[in-house]
Amino acid sequence: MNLLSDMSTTEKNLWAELGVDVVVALYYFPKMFSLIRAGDTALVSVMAGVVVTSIILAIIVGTALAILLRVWREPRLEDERDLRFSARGTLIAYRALAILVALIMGQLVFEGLFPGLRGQLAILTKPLLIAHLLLLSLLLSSAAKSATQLFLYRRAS
Amino acid sequence: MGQTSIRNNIRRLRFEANEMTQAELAEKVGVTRQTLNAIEAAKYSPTLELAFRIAEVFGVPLDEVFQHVGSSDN
Repeated sequence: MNLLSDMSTTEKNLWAELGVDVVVALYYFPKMFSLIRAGDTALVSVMAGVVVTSIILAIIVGTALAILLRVWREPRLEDERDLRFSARGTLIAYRALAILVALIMGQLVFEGLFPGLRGQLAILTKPLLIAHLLLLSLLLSSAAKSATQLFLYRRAS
Repeated sequence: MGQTSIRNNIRRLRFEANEMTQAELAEKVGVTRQTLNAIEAAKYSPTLELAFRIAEVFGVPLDEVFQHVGSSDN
């Protein structure tokens, strides 16, 4: 495939990482948030199952994408373009993470200051929800890094 | 899409250097073929160090390989 030969091994790996991130997030977060909202009493045991399934899913999707993109065919050589694009991606990911964490903190401070105004979006009373929102922020910033790098690679190919 | 303001003669120089392939030149200067392709298509500006390495491979001065667009008028 011509498109594949246009991609360096680093870029192919980025596509695989982004694919795994997206598939796992699409499975994990809707399941978790529905469990937390429902207030499942057996949440911890159910959560363990979801986490194990997510890991298995990540391995399967990662392997499938590696086969599809043939990432093992070429040695992984990183050059100055990879490093420059990685630095740009890291900057975008840092900004995305800072904004998302600031939003979560803002929500927590708001709920703490005005407990009477807690509505449907209240997260302060559910520490597990806060943990998952932080995890989601990490995942989104990771996806932002991969997407930025891939955008730069595609623009320069 | 995404053209830089640096033009180059790498394609011509490769042709004159016994039709050197992109892969061969990339290996000599220590980058991937994809990076060299992006440089040749003026879609990525190399660092000064890489630019010098490319010029060294062809045995020509730097300004024979790379030119900044519009700089010749000044």
